[in-house]
Amino acid sequence: MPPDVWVTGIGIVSALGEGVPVHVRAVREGHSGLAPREFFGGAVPDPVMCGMIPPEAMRETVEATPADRADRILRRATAAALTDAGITVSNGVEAIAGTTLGNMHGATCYHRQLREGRNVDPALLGGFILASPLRSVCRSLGITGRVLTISSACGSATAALGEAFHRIRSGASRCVVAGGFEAVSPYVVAGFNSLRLVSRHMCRPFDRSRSGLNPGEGAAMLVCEEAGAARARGARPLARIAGSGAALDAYHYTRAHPEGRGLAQAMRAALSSAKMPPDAIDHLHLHGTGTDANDPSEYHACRDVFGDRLSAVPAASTKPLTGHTFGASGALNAVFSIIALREKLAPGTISLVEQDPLFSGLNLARDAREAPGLKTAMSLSLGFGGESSAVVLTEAAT
Amino acid sequence: MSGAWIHGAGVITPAVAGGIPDLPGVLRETPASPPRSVERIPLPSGMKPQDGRRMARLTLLALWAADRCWADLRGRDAGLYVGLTHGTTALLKEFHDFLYDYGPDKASPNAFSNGVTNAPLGAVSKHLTLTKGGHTLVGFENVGLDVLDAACAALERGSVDLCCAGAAEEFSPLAEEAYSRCGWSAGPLPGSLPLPQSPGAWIGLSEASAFFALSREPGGCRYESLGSIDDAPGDTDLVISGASGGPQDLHELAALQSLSGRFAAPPALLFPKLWFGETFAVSAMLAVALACGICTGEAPAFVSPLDPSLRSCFLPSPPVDRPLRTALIVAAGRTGEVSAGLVTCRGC
Repeated sequence: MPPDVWVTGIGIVSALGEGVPVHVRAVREGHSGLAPREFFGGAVPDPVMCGMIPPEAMRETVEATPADRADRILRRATAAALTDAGITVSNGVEAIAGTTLGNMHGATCYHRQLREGRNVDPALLGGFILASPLRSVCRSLGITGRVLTISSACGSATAALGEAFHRIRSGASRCVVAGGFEAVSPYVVAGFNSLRLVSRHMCRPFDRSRSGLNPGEGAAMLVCEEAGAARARGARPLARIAGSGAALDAYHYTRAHPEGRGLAQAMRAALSSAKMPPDAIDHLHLHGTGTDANDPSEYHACRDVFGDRLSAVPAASTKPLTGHTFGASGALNAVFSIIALREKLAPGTISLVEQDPLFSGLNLARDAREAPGLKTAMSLSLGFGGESSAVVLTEAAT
Repeated sequence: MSGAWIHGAGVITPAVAGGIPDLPGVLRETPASPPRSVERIPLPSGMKPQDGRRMARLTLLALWAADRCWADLRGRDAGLYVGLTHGTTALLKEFHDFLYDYGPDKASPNAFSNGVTNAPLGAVSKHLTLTKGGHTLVGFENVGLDVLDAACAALERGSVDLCCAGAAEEFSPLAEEAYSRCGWSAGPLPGSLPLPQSPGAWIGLSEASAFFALSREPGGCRYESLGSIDDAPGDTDLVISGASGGPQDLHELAALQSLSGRFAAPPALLFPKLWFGETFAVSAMLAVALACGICTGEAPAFVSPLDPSLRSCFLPSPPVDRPLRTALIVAAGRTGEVSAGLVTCRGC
């Protein structure tokens, strides 16, 4: 019988601030961390609505540089997760983190110095290797077990949680701190704007007037532990990871399948690994980016898996709260799902004005809803290139 | 420890493009400074030239190798795991050049979308119609073995019956220049490895891709992921090291030294980067493919320039009194992690 996998610690930092309580408050009160910000002197677009971590949450120091922002974001979340779990010795702990663009600010700085003929700082080479931030953080926190960085676009963090889940279930590991991180930089903004995916307004997932995504930064790291080992050291469970699934669309090397074929397959795989039917899901935490292509894909996948029951399952996208944190988004979604389980509160999709009739089967609401029977949640991620993943979370029985 | 059987392989480097049997022959040549790039990347089967026009070089290398490894498995669905180190710095540079030359509103969508790290995985998935999940791992010189470990674990837990696993690295003048600023410049081939005594004796960057078709069904060669280098069996015949004179060599040397006295008879020690160059994420996978080729055929007569501290516990050349059938792959990353894997061949 494979062991249970508990979540025993959470560290999270986003545009809403740092720590779980501030994210609970944001869900209850429905307030967003998005704000307009200029990049490139206002050229792209003017201004960009994005989710930047507030300076007080980063506790900026004199030594901080833009080039190592991703490292600092990840370090805050990882250290907080270990502290929350009561882990003071990280010897033997493994770490798996997802990221899409990592510390691209370093790469941008490198290119600028090169073009300007300046003496290039070789340390910025770290910006080219997405594995650098997690390595650096693990070294500084004394994490000595296996360290993996997954870069599967917007599905990276959910894939990281899935990998942690499978490693613990198979006995390969007893404790993995897993999640994702991302830092907003001019590269990120210009890149997604070049694809015409960035909205000038707050994103409106599944809304008739949706117009794109808002870039966001953040990190969420979750300490995932084998239940027996956690129990033995007196840890308390925050939630249980019950199942995980992943799939690929094989449709286009950047675009997702229009009918969400891969995401539906990932959802079914997650339910199968949790040994649960779709009926068991009480809350659906959507990827919900608010783009023209992704929202229909995701809707079709949900409809395919849940059928008519979809309209009975409270669903939400929290991207209007934090922005789209790309490689970190799956981990933030998982934390919001755990908040939903613990607070018995289905988050609202706060920017919803008029739900697009195309998605009429989705049970969305602008405001958070009390949900006393909420015991099981499924969190979805749909990535560039059709890499989809899903994770099933439940209350943790001690 | 998790493992799987190898049912196909595709490898492309400046020296060779083919499968497992094509690799050992490369060792018959005297190593010279390895060429940096593949002269012409062939198209994978069924792909039109215009389909690949916008793709990163990295993606084209991966497509060819993956397509080759899947030659006998067309139509079969599977999981997919891909390893990278630097990704495509060429498209990264192109994106930044557009950004600064034409302004942020004219940034190149092609350079951005084809430059993301999971573009090779997306392309391979589409080309071979692989839908059973997987992801891209980014890491250092040892990440190739992490990819194989992830694929083997997926097979063992039953998530998939078949898995395609590989890695790709494109030659990057940008990365080469950045490494030289950090003190790592390609120079004359090292007189000994790991940690050559003469400064500047780094093998230097090259490019490659290697992909494997893995299954739980028995095949010719088996790959097993080892939890630690301490799990290396006593009857190991061949050790393949990732030393190149580069930043990981300190850790490669320590790993090799820790194997002293472990083996029933001193195994041969091989440094394939002398022939293939530093290909980062691909290097350990090249080592696995090379091990399969050597263990299923006849080992070519190579001579490895061993660090003096290793001469009492390793042979610089294949032994004449026994065939090589069990190979230990050692891959150290520059930040100190050491990965290890074992290749054994059936019925040899």
